[in-house]
Order: sequence, then C-alpha cells, then structure tokens
Amino acid sequence: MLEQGKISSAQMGKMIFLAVIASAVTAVPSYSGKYAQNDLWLSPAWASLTGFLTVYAAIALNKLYPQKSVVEYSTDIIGTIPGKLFGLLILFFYIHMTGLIARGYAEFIIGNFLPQTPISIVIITMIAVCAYAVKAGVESIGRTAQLFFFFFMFPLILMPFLLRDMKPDFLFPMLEHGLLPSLKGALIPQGYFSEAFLMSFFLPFVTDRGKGMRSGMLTILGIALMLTCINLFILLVFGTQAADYLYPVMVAFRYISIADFFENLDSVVMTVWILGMFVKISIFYYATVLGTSQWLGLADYRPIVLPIGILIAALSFWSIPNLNQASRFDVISFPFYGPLMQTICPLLLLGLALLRKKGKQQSQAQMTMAPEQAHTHTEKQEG
Amino acid sequence: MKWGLVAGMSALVCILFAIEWPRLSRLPRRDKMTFIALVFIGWVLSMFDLPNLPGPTTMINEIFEPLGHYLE
Amino acid sequence: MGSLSENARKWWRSHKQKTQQQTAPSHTPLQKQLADNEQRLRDLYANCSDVVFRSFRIGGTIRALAIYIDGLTNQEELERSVLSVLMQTKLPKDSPLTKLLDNLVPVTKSREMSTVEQCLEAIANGNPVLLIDQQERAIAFGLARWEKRQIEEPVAEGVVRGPREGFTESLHVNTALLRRQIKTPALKMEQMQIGGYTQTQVVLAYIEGIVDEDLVAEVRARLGRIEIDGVLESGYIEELIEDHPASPFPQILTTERPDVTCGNLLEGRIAILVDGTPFVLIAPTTLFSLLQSSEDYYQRSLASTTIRWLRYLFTAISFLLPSLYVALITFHHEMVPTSLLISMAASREAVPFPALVEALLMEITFEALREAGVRLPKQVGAAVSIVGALVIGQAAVQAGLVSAPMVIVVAITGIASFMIPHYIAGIAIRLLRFPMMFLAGSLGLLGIMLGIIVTVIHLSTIRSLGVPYLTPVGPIKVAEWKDTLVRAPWWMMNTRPHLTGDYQKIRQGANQKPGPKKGGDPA
Repeated sequence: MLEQGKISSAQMGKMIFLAVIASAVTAVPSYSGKYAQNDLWLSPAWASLTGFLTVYAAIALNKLYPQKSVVEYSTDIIGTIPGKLFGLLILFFYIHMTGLIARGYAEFIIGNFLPQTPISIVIITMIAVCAYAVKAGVESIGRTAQLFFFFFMFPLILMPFLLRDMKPDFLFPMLEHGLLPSLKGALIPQGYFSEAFLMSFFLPFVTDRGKGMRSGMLTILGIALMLTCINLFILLVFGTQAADYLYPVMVAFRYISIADFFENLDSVVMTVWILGMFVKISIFYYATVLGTSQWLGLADYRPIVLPIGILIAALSFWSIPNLNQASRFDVISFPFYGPLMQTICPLLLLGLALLRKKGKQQSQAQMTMAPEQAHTHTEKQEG
Repeated sequence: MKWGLVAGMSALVCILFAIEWPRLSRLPRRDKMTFIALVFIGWVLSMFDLPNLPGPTTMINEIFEPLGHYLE
Repeated sequence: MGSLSENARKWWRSHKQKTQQQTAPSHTPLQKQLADNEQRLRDLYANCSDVVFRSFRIGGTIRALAIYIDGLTNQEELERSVLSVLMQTKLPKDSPLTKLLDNLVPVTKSREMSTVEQCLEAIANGNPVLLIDQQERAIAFGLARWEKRQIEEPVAEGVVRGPREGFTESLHVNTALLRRQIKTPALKMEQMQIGGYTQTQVVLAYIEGIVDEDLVAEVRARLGRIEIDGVLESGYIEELIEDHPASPFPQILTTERPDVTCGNLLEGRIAILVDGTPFVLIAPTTLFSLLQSSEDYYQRSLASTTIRWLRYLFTAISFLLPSLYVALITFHHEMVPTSLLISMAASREAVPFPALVEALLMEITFEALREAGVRLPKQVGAAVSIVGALVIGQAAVQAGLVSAPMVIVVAITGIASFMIPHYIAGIAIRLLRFPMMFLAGSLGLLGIMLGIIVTVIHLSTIRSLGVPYLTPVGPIKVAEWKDTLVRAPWWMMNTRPHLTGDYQKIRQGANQKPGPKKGGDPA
C-alpha cells in the first residue's frame, strides 16, 4: 500500500469533524439565516441527513472493498474506463475544492485580521504547512487532528459570556412559514456535511474498522449538534440580522468582555479556527495526493505532494478575482456540486456494487446447481 | 506577464527538483513522469493572469447556475 | 553524497584494521616463555611511562612479572596480598595456576587469561596482570582503584524532597547505585565496549520481565552498530542511536539521578550507562517525560499536579511569549486592553527599533548571558551578573534602546525556560523561540499559529524507539493521563505505561486507597 501509517477510528472521526466544521462554523449561520430567518437553528438537523447518508455510503463501500479508496474501487464496480473517468472527476473535485477552501480561508484572514498582508502569502504559507503535514503521512495528520480537536472546542467555553447579550424573543415566531425556510437554509450546510465522504480515503488505514460506522455517525451527530448550538447562539444574539454579517460568529465573539479587561476575543476564535482550517486543508490535500497516486498507480505519493500544492495554489486564484466571486461558488454551485460528487455518486456506486455482488452470488449459486446455465448467465452479464 | 513571478516560479521549480529528486531517482519512471508533468503544469499556469481567466470554477458555476437560481 | 559516505566507510574500515594491528592484534595467545610475553607487552606499551613492569621470583625460583598502570591500581594491596605473599612462598615448578589462586593470593576478584588482548584490557582497566614463566595463562587481580569523585548531589537536577545522590563518572559506582535500589536479580546489566581507542565501557540496564524484549534487542543492535574512535560522554551514544537526528527535540532522556533511572526502569524502559560521565541515557522517552521532575513523585499528588500544570504553562510561555508580544505590538493592537496598550505605547515611544528587532536583541543578549554564566570562572561571576542586570536591564531601558515591557517579557521567558526540569528539552524550546519570533514579526498571530502547527506536526512524526513522542495525547492513551495531565496518587497508579510490544501491565495491587478504616489486616 502507498501509506504505511495507521490511525484509529476516533482519530478519523476527529479529522472528519474538524474538516466539516472548520469552514461551516464561520459561514453557515449567515447563509442559513438568509433563507431560514429565525428558524436557522433547525437547518443543521436537516443538513445532517446528507451527512448520515454519506457516512453510510462510505462505510458500506469500505466493507465491500476494505483495502481500497474510492478511486480504486470505482474501477471494480463500473469497469475500468468509466471507473477511471469517475476517479478523475473525484480527483478534480477534490483538488479544486482544496484550492477554493484555501481561498476561503485566506479571504477570512485578510478580511478579519491581516488586511495589509497580500493574499498570496496567506495562501502559500498555509499550503506549505499542509504540504509538510501531508508528507508526514496519515498518522501525523491523525495525531495533530486529535490534539487540535481539544483546542478547537475551547471557544465553546466562552459562549456563556454572551448570555447577557441574548434575547430569547428572537426565537419566535417559530416555524412561521412552515418547514420550507429551514429546509432551504439547510441547503448550503448539507454541502459541508457531504465532505464526510473524505473518510473513504482514510478508512483503509483505520485499525479498528468495526467501530468505523459508530464513530462516523457520532461525528455527524457532533457536527450537527455543534452547528445547531452555534446557530442558536447567533440567532439569540443577532436575531434575523445574523444574515447581514459575513462572519457572524466572529462578530459575536467581539461582543464578549470578561471583567472589562479581556476583550476582542475574536482573535482567540481565529487562532483556534486556523487549527481547524489546517486540518481541513490537510485532509483535502491528502485525499487529492493519495487519490492521484492511486489513480496513476505510483509507487510513492510523497514526491507529488509539492507539485500538487502548486496546482492547489493556482486553483485558489483561478477565475476568482475577488471575495464576491469566491462566495458565489459557495452559494450557487457548492450546495449541489458537493453532495453530487460525495453523496449521490457514492450511493449510486454502492447500489451498483451491491447489485453486482448479488449477481455474482446468484451466478455462484446457479453454478453449483447447473454449471451450463451459470456460464451463459455470466456471459450475458459481461455482454 | 510579470517577469518577477516567472523568475520566482522557475526558482521554485528548481528548488522542488532539488528537494525531491534524491527520492524520485529511486522510484519508477511513471513517478518521475508524473512529477515532471505536474510541476510543468503548475509552472505554465503561473504564467497566466489567473484571477481574471475563466477556469474550472467558472465552468462549475455555469453548470450549476440554473439550480442555484431555483433556490433564490 | 552516497559515494562520500562510502569513502568514509572504506577509510574507517582500513583505519580500524590498522589500529587493531597497532594496539590489539586479534587473539594472540600467550607464549610459554615469560621473556616472549614480556617483550610483546613492552613493545605494545613502548613510550608509555605510566605502565609499570615489575619482575620478581615466586618463592625465589620461578620468574614472574606483574604489570599495572600507575594510578589505576591499588598499589599497597598489590604489594601486600600478591607480591610479598608470592615472593615468600615455595612453589613446585609445575603447579597449576588455579592452585596458586586458590591457596596463596588473598584477592577476591581474579581472573585467568590466555590472550594478549585480555591482558591489555585488564591492565587498561586498572587490574594488575601477573605473568609467570612456563605458564601459558596469566592472572588479573581485581585491584583496580583510582581517584574518583565522591557521590554528590546532582547539580543540574536539584530537588527539595528526594534522594540527594547523583551518578558519578565511575561506571561501577553508578551500577552499584542502581543495584542498591533495585535488588532483584531481574535487573540485568549487559556490558559492552564502544570506541576503537577509548574502549569505553557501556552498560545496558533493564529489568527482565518488565521490559519488552524486542526493545532491548533493538537497543543492543543499535549500540552494536556504533563504530567510533572514542566515546567521551553519553552524548556520543545518544546521537548515534536516536531515531530522528535532525530534530531539535531530544528523543532520549538524560539524567544524573539514580532514582529517575530506577523509576524509568520500573516502567519498562532501558538505561544506558557510560563510563566517564554521570549522565545516563534513558529510552524510549516522550515529550511529557521531559517535562517531569523526579520530585513530582515524592510530593503530595495534588501539589505535584499543580506544579506540573504550572510547568506546562511556563513551557508554553517560554516558547511563545516573546513572539506573542511581537505579534501584539506589530499587528494586533485591538487585542490588548486599551489601558495596557496606552502604557505600553508610552514606554515604546523612545525605542527606535521595530518590536521584532527589539525582541531579538534582548533574547539573544539573554541567551549570551546565560551561556557566559555557565562557562565563566566562578571569580568573575558576580561581575557578569551586575553587568547583566544593570546594563541590559535598567540602563538599556533608560537609554531608550529597549522598552520596559520587553525587559519584563524577556525576564519571564528566561524564568520560564528554567522551569523545564530537563535542561536539554529546554534548549530545544529556546531554539524554536527564534523562528517563532520571525514568524510573529512577519505574519502576526497567523505566523505564530503556523509555527505551532509545524511544531506539532514535527512532534507527531517523531518516535523514540518506536514510541510516538506525543504519547499520551496524540495518540490518545487515556490510561496514561494519570501520570501526565495529573500526577495521580500512588495508590491509583496501578498500571504501567504501554511503550512497545508486550509488557507487564499491572504494577501493583489494586484497591490500595488508604483511609482510617483500613488497618493493618486485610478485612
């Protein structure tokens, strides 16, 4: 195998958790608030359905092909050429997404903290750091994710300091326009949930794969809970105004003042968020690099880490002249493109794989009964 | 075309070769070709004024625009 | 590169053969004639004024020769128990050597030898060698004694409560210190010699049954691989057996304390004792064991836990404080509370440098002061501390070269770096502080975060003899948190940490929590 490292299912869960939540946490309250208004706290629950489906697909496929990633088993399921084509599409999706995520990260940093710094520096330094992580291998990424997970949870302790700014009135009227607004508000978050499919690249290295399903589902549940929590907080603080801010979470933390001395705690949130973003980009980057090596049948994935990093950097600039264009993709394409590649396609693959297995079992069963019949049957299937 | 960027990218490509070649030289031909191809693509891409050039993002946006408008 | 190291290897091989021919021709048996043996040894020890050849006759008839090195041997004992006894005895010409040993010479430790190399080794270790005419064997008497330092309190690892013994330069004193604490025969000490010229004795100590056999085999193999001309300190061995030579972090723990060594042996680690240095190597080690002091285990557990957390906090401060200061001053004014910002800005008004330069200036000066403080002769110590305190502290601030907050930052950082109990781990963190300052000066908090991420990735890739360096937080091992995040009371430390492979998990009896109702007899 290309990768010698091993991770535990808990590490994988934390990796996926950080990967999904890191970008969701900044933008989701604003995006959801735009459509769901004061029902935005309901949206993550709807969105998590995509997450559960995705995890199910990834793990069920892994059970059929325990040692293979999506790039490898797609050729087993739908034949060599269509499988390779699908693999190429997936790889293109991931490398493209990595670039766009890096761009989103950089826009956030520039917009909030380092307005003077050129965006290219912010992107390139992050990609360089992630390249180091990817070169270090899946084990290192797993351990760093495990460590950073705790730091990432830290700002949640600060949430109670917002209590005095909260107005429960903002919750009402609940479900004024029925469920539709909250469903619409779930459209963008469910795109992020579909990113849980990344676990397809990591499952082959998980030692306790039996716990994979449990840890995957728990991860999705955790993400849904955390997003609900955050959306609720944001709603209680800002009301329907939440959608007017680009990054409402940051604005909320700017409100916090502890003992009139510790103020502007948004920087704390940013530092922690950088850790999450690092894990996210590393995981996407790793999936791209590993997938590319598997697709081309390379002997080692490490040498192509840096060249792919250049491509990722290039993609983070390509046809995105400004912030508006960057968020346009997030709103228009991603809610459909992400789930299409990461949920619907895997589910289709899973269906085909199960059919194929059934066919094989049937043919095997017939083989024992009537060998000639079975022979014609398999021929038909191949034709 | 910005000459500074071209020079910088060329230097970066040289550094990449310096870093990776010791390991690559022991790997099969396929790995070497992939490495060279990827580096070359990256180098060529950096020559263009990427932000204002239509690319994959534009393409994907074109495809999904109708669905996006449905949401509005 | 490849060809260069190949050449070096070739050179070494030929060189080694040459030195072996000079000093120790492989397995030359002793001759029957005393004169031949004497000539051979005199040739080998030509121009060695410290080697003494003493000819005499046993019982006035048989010619014999005692060889020893002046200053390494207990001369009085040699005279009293060997020379005078043998000279006054009467001996039949063909009596076997063993009889001589058994009946005549009152020396407890003596050994028969048949080759010249064995003689050379014995002489070099201070054991006088007796050669007898018409005998193809020689005897070495265990009469080595040389001047050595007394057992003193270790200088670099002080404790308030705990044993005050420290290792010395003498290997056998050190092994004795270990054996005095761990009396079981399961404590094994394998001796080997490393170093072409120095022939340094190295002892690999471990407790059989607790340690993973594969670990011992691995260390043995790594030690056996060493080909070096001399080992003067355990640092040579450390650099030759560690897993990641390029890392700034030490992957092997060094200690001067027998109690630390014993504690680690009891947890299933191995210790490497090197003759000539009080510093013992312990492996495998983790980042957290470098942040622990032996006293943690002797104090009350609550106090130890608090001190551990204080230590973690100050380790972070020692790593980050100067860079945080630079980042705040340069990029993130809004993070500093307004009143504090105003006073900081006021004191920085006269300073001509950007914060980064100011911080670098002060930190480098501080490091120089510290280094000077370690090396300088004791007589000038007072002068340096006065110059340091006055010039670098007060005068620099008054002259407007640095701001007062910067001096405070440097002072706190300095103290923080002394909080790390193992000096070598402190060096790694002090080193990494400087790149962090550059990152903070160029990218602010973002730079610091990137620096932290890179450090953490690096830490998560390194292993010490197969044990991940960040155990038990990455990978998480909850069972080991009792000795890292807290220092659990001894009655809770029922299991050993898991290092590699098979291990003896249970350390002590369960359910030993004391209380008023727990008397002497088990209920």
